[in-house]
Amino acid sequence: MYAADHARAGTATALRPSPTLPIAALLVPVLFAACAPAGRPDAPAISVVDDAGRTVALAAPARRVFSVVPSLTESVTALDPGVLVARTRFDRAPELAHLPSLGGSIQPNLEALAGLEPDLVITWADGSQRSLGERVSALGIPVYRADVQAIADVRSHLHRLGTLLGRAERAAAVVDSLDLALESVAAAVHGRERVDVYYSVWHDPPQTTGPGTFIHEVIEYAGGRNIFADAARSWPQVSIEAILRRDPDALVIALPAPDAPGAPWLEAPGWRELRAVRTGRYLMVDGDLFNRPGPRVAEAARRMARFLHGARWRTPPAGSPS
Amino acid sequence: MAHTPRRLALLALVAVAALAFSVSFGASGIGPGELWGALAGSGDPTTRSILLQLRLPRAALAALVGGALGLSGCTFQALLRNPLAEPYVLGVSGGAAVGAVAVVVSGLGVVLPWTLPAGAFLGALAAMALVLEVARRASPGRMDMRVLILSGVIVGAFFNAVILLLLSLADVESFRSAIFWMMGNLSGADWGSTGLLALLLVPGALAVLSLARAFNLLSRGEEVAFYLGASVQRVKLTAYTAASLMVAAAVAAGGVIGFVGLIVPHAVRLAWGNDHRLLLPASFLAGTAFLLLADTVARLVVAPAELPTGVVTAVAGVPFFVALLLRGGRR
Repeated sequence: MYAADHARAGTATALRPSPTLPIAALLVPVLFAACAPAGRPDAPAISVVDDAGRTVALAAPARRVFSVVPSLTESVTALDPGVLVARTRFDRAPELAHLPSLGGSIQPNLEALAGLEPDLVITWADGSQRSLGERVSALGIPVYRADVQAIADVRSHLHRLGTLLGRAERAAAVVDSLDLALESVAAAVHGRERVDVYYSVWHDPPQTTGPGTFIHEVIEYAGGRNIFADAARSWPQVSIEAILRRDPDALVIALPAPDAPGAPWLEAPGWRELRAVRTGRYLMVDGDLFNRPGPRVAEAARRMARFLHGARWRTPPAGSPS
Repeated sequence: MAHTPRRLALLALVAVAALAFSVSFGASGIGPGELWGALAGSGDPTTRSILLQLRLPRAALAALVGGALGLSGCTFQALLRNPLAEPYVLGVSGGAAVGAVAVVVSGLGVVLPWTLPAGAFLGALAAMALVLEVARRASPGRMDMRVLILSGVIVGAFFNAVILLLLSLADVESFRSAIFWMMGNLSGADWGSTGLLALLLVPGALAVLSLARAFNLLSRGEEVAFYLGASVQRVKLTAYTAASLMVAAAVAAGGVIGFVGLIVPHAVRLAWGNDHRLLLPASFLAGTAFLLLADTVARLVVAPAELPTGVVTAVAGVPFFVALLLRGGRR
């Protein structure tokens, strides 16, 4: 399950931010745009294919949107904050505070949702969440099913949502600035020795990131090396003994909520023996920022790079190698 | 009876071997050779930490929890004269789980980690007192064991409902932690909690072991036991209190680890008969060995992740027990 060659292959591909990815992502909406308005007069004006492989067709750009996927709520906010009609209790951004909360993102209140008459609902494509999409569909509301793992997915969703919201140009601009920011972070730490990082999603049971996730990529952009890059799963649960054995240089701890009380569990056996804890090289970060694959991943990468490579990196202007 | 010391010595040897095995293997892949080197002082600091701060306290905790569950399961089977009896049958685990889940869901467990075992222990004590009080009022004068079982089942059902209520209000992360705890999870072991558990277990274990003869009498029926000189009401109250305290302490330290307390005493009984002077200490030692092995499997099979220990005890314990039953049936 944990072969060393997998690790190397995974790391090698993720180390270099591939220049082909943004281009591929840019092509996606172009293709959709090319086939959407073709021919038939009664064909819907707007259509994209979602991550469940279904075509989402709208007669006009969506103006009343609800998303149960917090990272995509952020993407929608970046494209057009005015279209959101409700939020979940995980959407804590101040600009959304005035919206009604429909509860958790697994089981939002469907009746309240129907009452808001949304013209687009964004759900997870993931199997366990499928029934929500089915039930919203049954209400006659168009559903966009999404799966967000890598930064490439962030770009692709921005483009597709841009199309659905009639904000394709804005989406292209958001993606450009995301790529520019990520590249400037990568350039700033270019040539520096990589730092072994353990990223804590949750501590009990310990859960971290494997390869293929946006956080794995953020670590790579920021000049780190994910110590569980060889994991078989995207979000593996690991034992403290395995973490201690790999003894990372640095720890990045995502706190689940803005009012979370830090990480007193670092004093527990196993954690307190870690070199990164003994030397104080750990950083607690806002999970709402770091655990969400949205347009703010570049901000997460910037913060992580500042933490991993410290004062030596600050002065260079964006885009120039230090 | 002549076999008793030899059989107990044999089981003790098995338990020690299980302890050595458990300490020798873990998710980091550090094997026995390196470990004994580290014990002798030659290993690197990481290996020493893994051994001294992770594996040893955890093995000690597994040994104590397994022993406590085996012993209290055996006690409940003797007390209730019911083969389905096990440590959690009277609702103690439900009370502990309400305490623990409340601590996890409220977020208190992250701020003050000691509140998790403390909450579980208090919940267990509350359940224990509630069950006893209901049983006493329902059968005044004498504690009817059938009423005690009913009271335990009903109180347990109520606590389960409270757990579901708490979980439905939890966020994803706390939910995972709570579920893991309820499946029986020894990963929080440290020397402090293990030492505290040992201290809490001693009086309960001694009290129960001293009742071995009384349990032998009780197994012929309460009336017979009374005529043969056992003060039945006192025995029942002592056994209930002592066994429940042991379960409360074990659950607080290791979560709800199932099947050990049901299967281990039955296995010993099938092998060596129903004399509680052997059965009680043997259930402790066999519980120790069984949980040590189960926990080692839990730490190894999906490394570098680990399974909740209670999953392994159930998956491994049930077929083992069925095999024992079938063998017993053929004899």
